[in-house]
Amino acid sequence: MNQYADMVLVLELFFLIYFALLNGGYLFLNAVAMISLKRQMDRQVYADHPRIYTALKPPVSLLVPAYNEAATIAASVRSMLQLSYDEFEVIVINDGSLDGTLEELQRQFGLVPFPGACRSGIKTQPVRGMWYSTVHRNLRVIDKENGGKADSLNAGINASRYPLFCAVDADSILQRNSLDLIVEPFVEDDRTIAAGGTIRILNGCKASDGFLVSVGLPNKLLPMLQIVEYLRAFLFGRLGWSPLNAMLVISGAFGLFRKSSVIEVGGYRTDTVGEDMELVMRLHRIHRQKRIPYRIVFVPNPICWTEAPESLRVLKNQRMRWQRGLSESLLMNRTLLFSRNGGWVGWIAFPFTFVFEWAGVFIELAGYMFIFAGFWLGIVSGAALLAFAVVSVLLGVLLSVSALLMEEMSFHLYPRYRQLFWLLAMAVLENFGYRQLNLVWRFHGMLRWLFGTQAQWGKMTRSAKWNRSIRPDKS
Amino acid sequence: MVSAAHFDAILWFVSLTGIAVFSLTLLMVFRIVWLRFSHNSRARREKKFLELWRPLMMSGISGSETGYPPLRMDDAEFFLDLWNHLHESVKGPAKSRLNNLAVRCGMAAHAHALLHRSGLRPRLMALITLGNLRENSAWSDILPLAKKPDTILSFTALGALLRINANAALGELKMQLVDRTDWPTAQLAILIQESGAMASTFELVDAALQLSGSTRPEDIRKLQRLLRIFVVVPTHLKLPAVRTILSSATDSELIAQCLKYLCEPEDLPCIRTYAEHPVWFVRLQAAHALGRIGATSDLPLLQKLLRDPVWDVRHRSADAIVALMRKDGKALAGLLATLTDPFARDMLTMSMAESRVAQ
Repeated sequence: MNQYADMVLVLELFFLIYFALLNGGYLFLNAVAMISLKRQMDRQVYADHPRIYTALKPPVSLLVPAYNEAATIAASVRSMLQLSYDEFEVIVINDGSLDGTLEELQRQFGLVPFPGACRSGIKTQPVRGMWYSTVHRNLRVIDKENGGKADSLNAGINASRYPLFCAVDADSILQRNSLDLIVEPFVEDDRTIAAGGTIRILNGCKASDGFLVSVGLPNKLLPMLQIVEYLRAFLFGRLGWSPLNAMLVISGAFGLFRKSSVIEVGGYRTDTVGEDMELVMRLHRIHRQKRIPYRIVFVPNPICWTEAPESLRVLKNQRMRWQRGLSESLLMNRTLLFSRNGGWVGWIAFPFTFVFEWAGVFIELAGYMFIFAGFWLGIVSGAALLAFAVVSVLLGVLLSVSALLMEEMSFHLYPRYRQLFWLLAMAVLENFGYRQLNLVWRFHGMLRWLFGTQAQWGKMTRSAKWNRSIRPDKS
Repeated sequence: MVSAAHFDAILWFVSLTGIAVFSLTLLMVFRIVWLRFSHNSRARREKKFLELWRPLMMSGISGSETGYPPLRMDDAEFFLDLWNHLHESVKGPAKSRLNNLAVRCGMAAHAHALLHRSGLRPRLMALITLGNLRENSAWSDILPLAKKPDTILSFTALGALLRINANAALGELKMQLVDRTDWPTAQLAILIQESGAMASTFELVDAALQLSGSTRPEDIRKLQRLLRIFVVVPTHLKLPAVRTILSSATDSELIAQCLKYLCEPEDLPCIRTYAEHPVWFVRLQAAHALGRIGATSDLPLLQKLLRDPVWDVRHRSADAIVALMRKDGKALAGLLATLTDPFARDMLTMSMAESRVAQ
């Protein structure tokens, strides 16, 4: 009997310490993010003033991989073509789409075949052809055999002309000044090799001809919950790690990279579904191994709007894919963990992600099971169960509310009191079912990864309700 | 069984944490609501301010306004924000008229006061304003700020000094320009260009020549940094210096940077020697330079570079060939027909097509 009591005590302590470290870690990140955001906001005085140094900003290649994106591709490309940036090219990579994406592009932008001599720096699936737009001189389309998103990005890198490339999802909408803002870390510091921007949820917003007309909240519960989730992930997740040069992921939907650095490390890996996270971890690992000075930063103000899943089925697939991507990235870059020259990323961020994001799925599920089983067996009292549940929910609410506070301090994108009320409500509501559901999906994703299934493009049903008035561009 | 006392202790701890977290959450919610309220009220005040002052400033710029209403100190930040934005979008006499307006409204004195505040935000605003006002009397207050370790503060201070007296600023801060690697090079170059102090950039050229020939990695890094700023140095000042630096340079990056600035036919023999350099980006810059100032006699060399193993070098060589033979389409087509290397042929075909699209 005593043995069982000891075991229960050990388990109890383990879960308590895990819980304290997890939330302590998040609160620490929160504090770093708050300080960093305050500094960014102060500095806004300087950044807001018109500066005429565009001539010295490096030109950028925007890479837009597209697989079955006929519904939204024209609007996205159009928004990219209208970015306020001095010199850039847009390269759409049609990854063997089956829904007429290429035909839609041909119809909208007057494409003509073009003799292309792609660089063969990174191996990709065969390129079937290259197209130029007769309307927009800076638009090119690469048509290639299907090979996945990472393969498409590699093909785009091979065909790109400029020293920086920006990977953008085909279903996303960029703010007009996004490129101007995200390029700044590269202008300010030569050591910058990658920069990520903020991703926001497009559902509930209105866009016309590829541009955001008004920001709103969706009228469905799932995307609304994801708004708070994204705020948390970007405003204190990324912003917390970035000043420590320990950010492990730049969203595949919007990230700017130094091409030579990415080619140097071999481009995107095609054998993972988390190619964006894997690349960032690899950049950290190789630069640290070779002791090359570098910076990977998060810039909060350039915003990329993207459509969030509205159904449980699609959301579940997305989360399973993300967890699988995380597992693959951690495994592929495991030598970064406690490496000799690992710095914050190798000694703190990587272990933190491994313990709380990866192993945390098992630990949290086990914790739920332990506490409910303990209650069932009479080892855990009702009062203790209730107290733990309340604190767990309260900490969840605290972290989400702090993300909302940071949003209020900075961007203030949802200006109405009603919107604020709904966001606060979501910060509470997400703790009752949504987070637990996510945990189960992530667990499912881990099982899938452990028992092995093929990596593929994430199938995402697009409603594209925000998208209006798409007309072909006249040549 | 686990003791009741043990559970009580955990329960007590958990409850205390719960109360603390709940209180903190409530505080944050109040803060959010307060921020929302103050943001909205500020937005209303700003709207009212802009409705009144934007037309007044526009009249001030055109020189037709004679009187201004008293400015509330609460509105000073809006004033400076609008005034600085307008200042950076106008030229010539309009700038002086805006300066008169700011002085008449007491904003020069206000900016001086802001400079001594503790926060970063008011000091940045003060530096931008005093720079735009060309406020000579603030020089001694701003100079120490340009030497502070904080990048944004020191760099904004440098911007203000360059606007107030560019030649003095370049002389005073020459060593800082070399040593402060945290100051963004591209923006630094533009600040110098914008201040119209290009004639004083001989200070930078001097600094570069002093570092030339050194093999210390730190000096090479400084020299690379200075060469990036050379983009705004007048050609007659930088070209002799670039030639001197190139003659003793062994670092590939330094050589590539120097090749970018060579622009006279007398540099061709030197450029040609770098077309066979073992480092690809040096060959790339050599090909680029040949396309810029080369002659048709360089075509054989460029054809050789067109078969280079590095894609970027082939691309730049193809562009150079197209640039040199632009006026003779037939000869270019003939050259294409003679190419047997498929990589070279593909690259030249693409460059020719790109050139057609660009026209």
